[in-house]
Amino acid sequence: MKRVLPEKYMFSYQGDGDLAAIGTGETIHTCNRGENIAIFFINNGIYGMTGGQMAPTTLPGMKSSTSPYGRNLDTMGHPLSLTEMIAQLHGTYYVTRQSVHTPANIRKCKQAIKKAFENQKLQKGLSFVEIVSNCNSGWKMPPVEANKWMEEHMFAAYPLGDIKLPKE
Amino acid sequence: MDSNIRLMKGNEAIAEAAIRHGVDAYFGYPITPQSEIIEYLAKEDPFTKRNGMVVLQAESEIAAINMVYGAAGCGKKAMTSSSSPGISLKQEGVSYLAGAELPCVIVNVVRGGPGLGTIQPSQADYFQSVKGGGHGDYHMIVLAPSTVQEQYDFVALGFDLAFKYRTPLLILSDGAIGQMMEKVVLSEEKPRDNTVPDWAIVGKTPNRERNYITSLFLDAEVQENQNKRLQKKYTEIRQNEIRFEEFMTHDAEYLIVAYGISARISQKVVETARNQGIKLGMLRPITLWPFPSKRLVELSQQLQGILCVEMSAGQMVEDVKLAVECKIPVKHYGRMGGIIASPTEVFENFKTLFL
Ligand SMILES: Cc1ncc(C[n+]2csc(CCOP(=O)(O)OP(=O)(O)O)c2C)c(N)n1
Repeated sequence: MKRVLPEKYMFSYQGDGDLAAIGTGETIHTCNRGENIAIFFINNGIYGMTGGQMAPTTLPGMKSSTSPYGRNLDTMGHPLSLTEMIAQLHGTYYVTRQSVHTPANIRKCKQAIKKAFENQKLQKGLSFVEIVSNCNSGWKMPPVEANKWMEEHMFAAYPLGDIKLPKE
Repeated sequence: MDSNIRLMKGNEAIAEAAIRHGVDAYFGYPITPQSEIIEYLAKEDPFTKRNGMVVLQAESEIAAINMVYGAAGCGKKAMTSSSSPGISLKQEGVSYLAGAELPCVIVNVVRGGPGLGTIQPSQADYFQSVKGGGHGDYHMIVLAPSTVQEQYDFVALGFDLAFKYRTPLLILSDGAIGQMMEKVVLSEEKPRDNTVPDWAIVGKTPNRERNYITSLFLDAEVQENQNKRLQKKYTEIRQNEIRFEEFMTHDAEYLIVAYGISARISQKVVETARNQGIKLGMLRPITLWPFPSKRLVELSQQLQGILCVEMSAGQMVEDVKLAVECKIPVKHYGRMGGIIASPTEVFENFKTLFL
């Protein structure tokens, strides 16, 4: 879309099941080509839409409908952090990991999203914003508890902050 | 767990059948309306808790079908399942499996399309299933269950046929049969059988030539010969494996042809018609490929018309017309996009079309 409508802002909004599983190849190559777009990656550690199956980002021991006894690293692999992987590619310009569970984090995340679009306006290349999120229905937790669980467990595996900043 | 009769969802019946039939490996990727298959297998955890069956959630449908290719090449009983969009992704792999003559069972719990479509039941993947789907001259044997019991039974039947003919086999289900719950009589659990066919890739031993599994034959003549082999096999399957069921056809003047969930609805239509003195019968193809064309020709001698009831714009109706060479009127009635027609609706349309 960006190649055929270069004057328009383009962004994708993707889950971990999409970006880190079935779409891994496309994600890596889009980043590697340095497409002048913004990718917003919502990481809730699970396939939400389809009813809570294990995602590549599911944490060790975490229960899901396809890992009902907890993710077993020997048979189901390790959590995959595509964000750190694509940060190593020459094609990515700005890579950051944010969250939206407190007003302060929402403000920070807003800044990151704004920066991603500014980069695009300046034709700087690909900006990648991961947003670590919860999925209370998929995690089978009340919202407040899900946020707490996210802070305690998800942030340990997926630490918040900038991962790749433009060299000015 | 001990009782051999259970109330199960169609999807769960497939999963339990896989374990009980001694399937060696299942590779899948979640998609509605069939995710219960992999979820049931994950919960049963047959690898550690039952008979050592491998269950793996792949990163995509393409990965899953290629894992099936690998395991089938090792001579193992391998299967995968998905629903329409995911089955489309698997087509390259299916063509390779057919070309390399590898047996496996693939389940499609069809949902409404095209595209991402809906999660409601549909039968619009008929063409893809019986006409090829992937590239090249090939067929899969296609079994169409219309009860949860058949969902269960066709796993064993599917593997038997797939191995007999060294061909991929498709169980063409739909979102209604996958999701509905019915009584299922379970078979005894078979231990997994560690013997593999002599063509399997198991590492070369000194006393035989190496086995080679490929669908690549660069020399056109060799490729043509491979095609001839396949066609010979398909002729044999057409001769031996056609399956269908008839309902009140002995004196029928009109016939409904329907499979899967549409056959369940059409059976009710036949009953309604009979109550009103209309001589309507039904033929339910169980194998969609090979298609029961010969039986349709025989029946057509006594018929004044055929109605195809399918949840599509009209796909199987083409095979029915081909079978009877349009010598009698053949019409289609169906709903699309995930809508199931009611028996009353089908009956009213039958009357408008034929009476
Ligand atoms: C080819 C294909 N396979 C499978 C699916 C089923 N499916 C829909 S959404 C989804 C994953 C959802 O997880 P994620 O991308 O993490 O997004 P979330 O719902 O958690 O926001 C899957 C597997 C599909 N739509 N298409």
